[in-house]
Amino acid sequence: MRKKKVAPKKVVRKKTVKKPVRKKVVAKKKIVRKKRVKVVPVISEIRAEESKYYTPKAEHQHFKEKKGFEFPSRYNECKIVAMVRDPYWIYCYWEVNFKPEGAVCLRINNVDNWEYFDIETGSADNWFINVPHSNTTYCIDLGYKTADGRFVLIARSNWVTTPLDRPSDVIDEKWTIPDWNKIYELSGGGKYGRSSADLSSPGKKFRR
Amino acid sequence: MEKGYLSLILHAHLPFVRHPEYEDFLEEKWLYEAITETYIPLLKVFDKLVEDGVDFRITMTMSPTLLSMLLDPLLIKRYVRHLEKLIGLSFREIKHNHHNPPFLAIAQMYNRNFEEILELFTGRYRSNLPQAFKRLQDLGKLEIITCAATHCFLPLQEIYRPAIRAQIKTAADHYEKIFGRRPRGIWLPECGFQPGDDRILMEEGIKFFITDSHGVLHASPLPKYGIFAPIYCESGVAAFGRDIESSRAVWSAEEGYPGHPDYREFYRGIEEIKYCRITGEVPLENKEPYVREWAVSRAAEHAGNFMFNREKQIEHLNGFLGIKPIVISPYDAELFGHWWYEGPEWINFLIRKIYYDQKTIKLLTPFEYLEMNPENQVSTPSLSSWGFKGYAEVWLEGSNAWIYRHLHKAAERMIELAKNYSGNTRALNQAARELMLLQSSDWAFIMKTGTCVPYAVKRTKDHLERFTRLYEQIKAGTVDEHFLSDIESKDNIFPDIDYRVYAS
Repeated sequence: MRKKKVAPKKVVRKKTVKKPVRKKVVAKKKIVRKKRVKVVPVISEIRAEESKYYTPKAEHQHFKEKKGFEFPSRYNECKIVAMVRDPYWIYCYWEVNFKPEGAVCLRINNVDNWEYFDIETGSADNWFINVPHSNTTYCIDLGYKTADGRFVLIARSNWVTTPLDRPSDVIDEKWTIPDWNKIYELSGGGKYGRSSADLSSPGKKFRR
Repeated sequence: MEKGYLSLILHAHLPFVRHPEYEDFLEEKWLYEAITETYIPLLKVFDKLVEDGVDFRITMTMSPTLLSMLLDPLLIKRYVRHLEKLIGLSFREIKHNHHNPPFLAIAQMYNRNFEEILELFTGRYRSNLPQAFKRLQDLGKLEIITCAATHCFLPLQEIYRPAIRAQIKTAADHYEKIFGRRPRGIWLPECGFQPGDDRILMEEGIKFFITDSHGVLHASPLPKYGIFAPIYCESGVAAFGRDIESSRAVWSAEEGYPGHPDYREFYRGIEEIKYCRITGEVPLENKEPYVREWAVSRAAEHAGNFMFNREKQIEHLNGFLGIKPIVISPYDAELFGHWWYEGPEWINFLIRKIYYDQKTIKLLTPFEYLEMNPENQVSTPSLSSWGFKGYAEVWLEGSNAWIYRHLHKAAERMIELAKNYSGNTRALNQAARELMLLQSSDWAFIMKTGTCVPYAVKRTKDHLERFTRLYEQIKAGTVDEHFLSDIESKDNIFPDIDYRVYAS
């Protein structure tokens, strides 16, 4: 059976004002992969969604590991890959297969207006980047800074778009909404991401 | 006439765990426990409803990895062996508790239960649970939907779209072979949706998927009915948003039904024989004996409460929105029975109460809703998941971010192989299997939760190693036959996989 699709006829954009991109580094977090993995199965912390992976005796390794293969530390290439973690964080990892003539640096570009900010990363090969805007497309340049402050590009990442962290400003004329706030509230709006793990505040509505 | 609809969605999934190289393997128990405590109890409930003429609708994911294990002769054999051992254990427990009446009654309950499960599994279900679920689908009571082939969290594979297509197409083909038609719906692993992935779903004939609430609430343009009606993506595939209110009632550890003191305690016990009830906020050793009658009547009460709340919710929404709303309530299937021992009873009571006791709500599948209401708003859902904080953080954080460098490299290499090499089809297909097993989101999830991390690391390593060796051998034109046969016999998932999907 064919669906009748109703295309939005007219799109009304309400707000288009954007804040300028902050030039400073907002936050950063570096991960170092632990060679030896610690196992901490605190029983009381295991929740419903984890219970299917629960085996009382599996806390310690119970299988033999043959020696030989290790995760490669590098793939001998110059490359940077970006991934979206949430509306304000992008993760990227990279590799450089030569010795750059300066400190390795990430340039985070907002591709809507090509404003950018830089992060110096030292000897790291991955980074969580706090970005200023949700619903915005970014790409990250991997490069190094020369002694006179020039940025030399080594590789450019894929483009990634952070998701909207709030309801859209775009209204479809054919589907106008008399009282969005009420619908948002009834839909549990503002409490997104409440999976089994963090449903903390009980809704009072409809409860006996 | 009903005022709205309730769609119960049970997501049944376990990662592919099969170790013929070991006589016994601890993590294979995940499957055995889920069969005994969840899948067969649910089948029992559904079969009895059919027998009693109670009409119902349930939507259920059966992930391709789970289906593969349920159909695997070695795991079936091992399951029966496991169950026989459990029955032996339950006899010993009966003997052991001979002078301890409350515990004796519980041991006897488990003994009867295991004996019945064994009889059902080998008898009525002929060791083929997917066929038992298919029967319910063919009767129109159950809508079985698919999942990504190995439960890959798709938004984190965005840079290699052929790998996403491979996950979806392999799953849909696998489904078709078992259930005799294309899947109409999909459970995107962890509800992980990235705009644009819907096009791949459309190409495979999939009509709908589920997102978390904010996937729809943050859709653009603004969705007129919030999460209480589906929206169409540009591709024409419908997205249904999860209802928070009804989710909380079952999922929540604190206020949800499963935390009630009368229900069975998950932790204390021997194997699947657990003697205590939750009792309250007391140490494990002070838990009191389980009383089956109390627990069952509590499940009935909670089913009544759930129904009452949905009636009120739907009545209110109907008045306010002026449409018949659909309330989407998805849960992990393993929650029912494995975690919440009385969960299948709760579903049983809920369905019967809805059928007999009220006229406000009707159980419906998302597909039936679309057939009845083909006109829906077009709007693009936002990137989202149902994991903690609503996005990708569970699978991309300090404990597990390091894997993506390897996962992406393997996907890139698989695409390279599919585009440039042919000839050794067996090796190329096996490479595709290894890549898919490597991509299971379960490994990253386990690394984060810390329950059996060495195993998750082992699996990541094993599949990367096997893939990498095959990649190198295929490129060199010298595939080690012995090695290939060995991993084909271990990682025997998707016998009909076609590596060429990575070239598209």
